[in-house]
Amino acid sequence: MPETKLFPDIINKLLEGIVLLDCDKKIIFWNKWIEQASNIPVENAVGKSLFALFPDLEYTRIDTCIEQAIKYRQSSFISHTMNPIMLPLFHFKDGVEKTKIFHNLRITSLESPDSGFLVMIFITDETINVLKEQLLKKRALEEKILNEKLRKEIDERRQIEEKLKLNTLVLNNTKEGVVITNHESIIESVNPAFIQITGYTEKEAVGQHIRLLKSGKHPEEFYKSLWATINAAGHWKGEFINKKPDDSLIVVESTIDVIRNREGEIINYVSIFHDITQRKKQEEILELRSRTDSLTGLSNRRYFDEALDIQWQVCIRNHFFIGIMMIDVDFFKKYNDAYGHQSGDDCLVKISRVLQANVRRSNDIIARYGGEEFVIVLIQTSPENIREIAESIMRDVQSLKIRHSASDISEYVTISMGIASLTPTKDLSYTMLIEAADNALYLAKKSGRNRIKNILPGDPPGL
Amino acid sequence: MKTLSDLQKDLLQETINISIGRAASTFNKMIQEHISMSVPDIRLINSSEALDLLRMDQNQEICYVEQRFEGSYFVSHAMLIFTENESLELVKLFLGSGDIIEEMSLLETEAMNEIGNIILNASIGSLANLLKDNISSTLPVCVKTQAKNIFGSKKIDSSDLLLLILIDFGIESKKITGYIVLVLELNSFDDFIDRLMQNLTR
Repeated sequence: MPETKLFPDIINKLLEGIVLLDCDKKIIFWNKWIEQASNIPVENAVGKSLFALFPDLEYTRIDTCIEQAIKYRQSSFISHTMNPIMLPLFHFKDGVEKTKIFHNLRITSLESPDSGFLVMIFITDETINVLKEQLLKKRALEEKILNEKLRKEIDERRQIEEKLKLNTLVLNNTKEGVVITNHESIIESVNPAFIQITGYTEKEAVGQHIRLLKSGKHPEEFYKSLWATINAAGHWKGEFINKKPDDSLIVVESTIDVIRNREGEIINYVSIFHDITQRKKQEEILELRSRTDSLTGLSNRRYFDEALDIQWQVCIRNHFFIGIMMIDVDFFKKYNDAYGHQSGDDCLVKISRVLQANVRRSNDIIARYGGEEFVIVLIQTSPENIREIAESIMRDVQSLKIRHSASDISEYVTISMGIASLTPTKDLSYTMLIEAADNALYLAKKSGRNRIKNILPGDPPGL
Repeated sequence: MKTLSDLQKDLLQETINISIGRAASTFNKMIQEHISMSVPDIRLINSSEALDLLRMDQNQEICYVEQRFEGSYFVSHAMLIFTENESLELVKLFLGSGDIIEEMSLLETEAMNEIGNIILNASIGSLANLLKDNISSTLPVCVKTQAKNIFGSKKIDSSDLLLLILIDFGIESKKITGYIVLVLELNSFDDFIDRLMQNLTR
């Protein structure tokens, strides 16, 4: 019949593989396409099973499908995407294997007029699709990654911009000074409050290193510990003394924060601060006022009690020798009566200066104890040293030569002094030492004034 | 209207169960995941009622694989149906998630095609076995569409009596659920049942 002759010609021209199997799974025919892809001529294939021709590979799935086609006339589809092991088909060129052919199988049954059922296997070359898709996917993935990156960047930028708008509004109106530097501490931007507090204009500040504000009032250790804290915690809070362009100093209470990018690298430092110079001054004044005697500038009685308590403990711990001098101006009431209160005050101030001039160590205490009474506490000293200082004070007061016509004992103002000293122990209190010094002063007055009475350790109490 | 007796229902259920079980175990081996399948829900319905039984939104984007099986006693449209996202997840499971992007490509559709083919062949295969009938089938076709179009494209006269067999299909660990739907157009309902009874009770 003409058809049978025509039939192989057409299927040999098809661009897909066609294999016909009989009910025993033996190959009846395969077309040119498979001859080329397998490099096996049809005459070598006929009469053999697929499994005999390609012995190295597993065909469980293919075999199952062929079986289903024969037994149940079911059609099956086998894709290379699902099955890593398919037929070993290649694009050959001059008999040399070039590239693997990715292919799908369609297995179906066919009614044959003479021999019952045939199994027909279509093999489609998907190589171009695979390559195309690989390329497209690669591009799509790249594009996806790029898009995500772009979107993220845009999102970030938009968020930053929105935040910036709000931030700018806030920053321009806050009373807190704000300065933003880059990671190398170069000032990038400042707000109006910064300009007001520091005295630098935006032009003067931006582009400068933050050390522009440095006053030199902080030791290097201060900056070291500041940077250590910032780097460890990302945040610092404390007080700074800064210098204004006119060299005046300002105290600011400041926070410094680290801004990092997504990679964790520092990109900015942000310092927010407010001026506490006035508050600081006020505090210092109040602090000073609370512990000094307004007339003489010496410590007042309240501060004296606190300071002595502390020093007493220091002396107990360290076995320091401690001495207390009680000093009283002789016939001061009469002086006041004779010369007036203003002169009385002047007299007390002059004597105060003498005391200050003779007692210079910072741990020693000089205080105005009562109206015309002073007290001196000498720490880590010796009986000899105490005596020397006491005698020096007596001499200096004498050489002030403050006229005192109402005095019973001299034409000038004189003082009396009672001294008590010891190395304190835990079972003693400083009030005992004050009492002893008071007693000594009493004795000095009783025995004619203008003299020193010294009670040494071991002297009987109540002397 | 014809109805199924309890015995007939049990019979069918048992038959389908066995075939589905075979498909499931094939699957288990392929993807190393536990697959659960419900007991088949078997109903005699009109085609217009069919969609209501799928718990899917009419406009849900779906992906299904369909094969047509033809035997002496029935013609069956067999479908494995997933939502589009779930079908993608399923394919990822087989191919390894690798470089699959949001949408199924040609190659992934092929994979889906084969997955459907394995399940559907197994399902109908045992029914054919049971009926001792030769059932020829078409090659599987993978279709992406909206849920409302599933039954519309079958050219089933809406007044036709259908035997609908619905099976919930799930891979628990991946939260993938789908349906296996076997729509049997019965040439002669009585012949079909008789044949089934004959072979089962023999």
